[in-house]
Amino acid sequence: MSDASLSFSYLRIYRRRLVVVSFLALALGLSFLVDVATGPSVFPFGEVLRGFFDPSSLDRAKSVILWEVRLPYAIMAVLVGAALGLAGAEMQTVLNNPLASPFTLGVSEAAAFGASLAIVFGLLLPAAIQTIAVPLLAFLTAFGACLVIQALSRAFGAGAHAVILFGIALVFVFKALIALVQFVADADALQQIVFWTMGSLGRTTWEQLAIVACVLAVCFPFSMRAVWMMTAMRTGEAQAMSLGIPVERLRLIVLFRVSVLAGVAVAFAGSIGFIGLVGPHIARLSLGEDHRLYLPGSALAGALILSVASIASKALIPGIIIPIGIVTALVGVPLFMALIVKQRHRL
Amino acid sequence: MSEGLSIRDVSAGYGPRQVLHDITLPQMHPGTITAVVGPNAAGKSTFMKLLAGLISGGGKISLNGEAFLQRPPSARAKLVGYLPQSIPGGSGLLAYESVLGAYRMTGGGSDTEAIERIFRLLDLENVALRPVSELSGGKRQLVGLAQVLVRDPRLLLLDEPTSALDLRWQIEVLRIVREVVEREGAVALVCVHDINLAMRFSDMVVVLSEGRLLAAGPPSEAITAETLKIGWQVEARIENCSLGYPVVLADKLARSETVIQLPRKKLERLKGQLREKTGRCDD
Repeated sequence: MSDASLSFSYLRIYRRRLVVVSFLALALGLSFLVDVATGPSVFPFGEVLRGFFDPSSLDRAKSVILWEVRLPYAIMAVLVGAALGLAGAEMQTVLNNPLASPFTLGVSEAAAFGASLAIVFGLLLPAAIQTIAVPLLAFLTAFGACLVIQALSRAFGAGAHAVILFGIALVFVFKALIALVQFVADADALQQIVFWTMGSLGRTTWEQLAIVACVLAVCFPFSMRAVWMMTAMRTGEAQAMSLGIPVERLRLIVLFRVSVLAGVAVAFAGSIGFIGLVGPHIARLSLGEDHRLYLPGSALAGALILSVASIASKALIPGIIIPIGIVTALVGVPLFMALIVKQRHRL
Repeated sequence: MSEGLSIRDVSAGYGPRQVLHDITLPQMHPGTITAVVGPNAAGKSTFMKLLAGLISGGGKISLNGEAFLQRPPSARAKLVGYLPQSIPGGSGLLAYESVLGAYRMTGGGSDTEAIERIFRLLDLENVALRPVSELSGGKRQLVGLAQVLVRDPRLLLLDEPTSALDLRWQIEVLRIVREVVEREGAVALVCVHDINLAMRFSDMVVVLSEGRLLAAGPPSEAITAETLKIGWQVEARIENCSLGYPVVLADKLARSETVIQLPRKKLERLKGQLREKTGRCDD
């Protein structure tokens, strides 16, 4: 290979990957449209498109279905998927663990516990405050779980397998705590908590969408600002430190960001598993680990998977919307096991 | 201003466990290579980590008169290039990307000529666009070295840069390091297990043993039968090969009682002789 061609050859690879990112974005757009057009009530695709640009062209019932049910549902699938995909990718990098994700390390479960607390003890609060209280408590407990994982990993110099075991332990702890909260909850709160544990987009409101969108809009630029640091982290911690990267501080900041993303996602969509694990793996396989493309790619892949899962949740049993968490778990478990088998040499 | 690297009364460790004890070395001048040798667990890697700013310790360390470890990490990274002992094998980055990352993190711009030059220098062009995880241990080590060299550091700290390399590349890498430090006026500290390689390519050899300085000086003065006996517990001779390089010929393991149970007076006498020869021998 001649000298002049090295940078050029790399540029070609980079451009090819950009095309892959564009395809992911295109696939997401298509999936989003199909998601909006799919549902228990018959709603032709052309009518959906017309309703987007000219809401007055729809009758009242269809307008409500489109603007109050399907659109929020489909947008939430995209936003939550993107948030979980991004959170998973960043978590895997800073913990140097391909099996890390908010779900496998108990962060999602911790957020669900926080949300449960907010529901049970916040029902007396005005609705507006409750909308904030749920994600806030979800974030705080998620961040607490992140700190516990990091502290345990550091204290025991844990390898990849040990961190996953800590995560599994945390999942069980928070499951038990959620059960305890359910035990003391009244009927209304209990119903809401059960909805959370299943993972569902069915009760999405525009206010919730605005919160998730804002969180993503704030977190994503910060993630992208750190792409070179994150890329350098993949060359090893010692090398990263020698490059002047404040590894401990970076790890803490990223885990904070992961907690915000996972907390807000879980608070409004419930416990949706495996998106934060599978999204980054798809991005890694198709885009490599240069974080300039890997991070947006993970967010896009996460969004695409959840959007497709959302379509599947409506299409699997005609007339019934299966909670989306059930769909992602059913698809995610075999994928997770396949990844473990593939990674067995590195664990 | 004193040119080069100065190290005085340096100590370091991990938490309560002290690994390095009061190490003072002769001045290391620009354009020179210093080999750091010693038996296993001598504290060589800890010494390199200390100089790289990865761990903290006591004492005075300065480069060209500046206490560079006081600099913020990002500013220090432009001055010091550190190659760790082990290069992680799980990275999915392309070799080119891992060097590009190091280059960009230390202020490198969009001009990629420097990266291409390093790949050419280390004969890595054929693997540049392959994931690091798919490379052999030796190639990974060379990619790690490329990450260091692309930054044009004033101080090179290479911890076992040749441990995964074949004989040809062991010689080649140290020849390249020699070429770079002489051209750039940099100072290089290289940890190696191969004493013959250390003597052949270095201007000064530092011998560490159990976290203390055993000897430091020109290769022929620092590596002697006595140092080998005390440091490595081997009976050995040092002879010149046909090209004139000193070569260690290990005859046998020194019997443990002759080393461990050396009478105090004899041990002191041996250390005195070493001190006379090398100018330094700490307890």
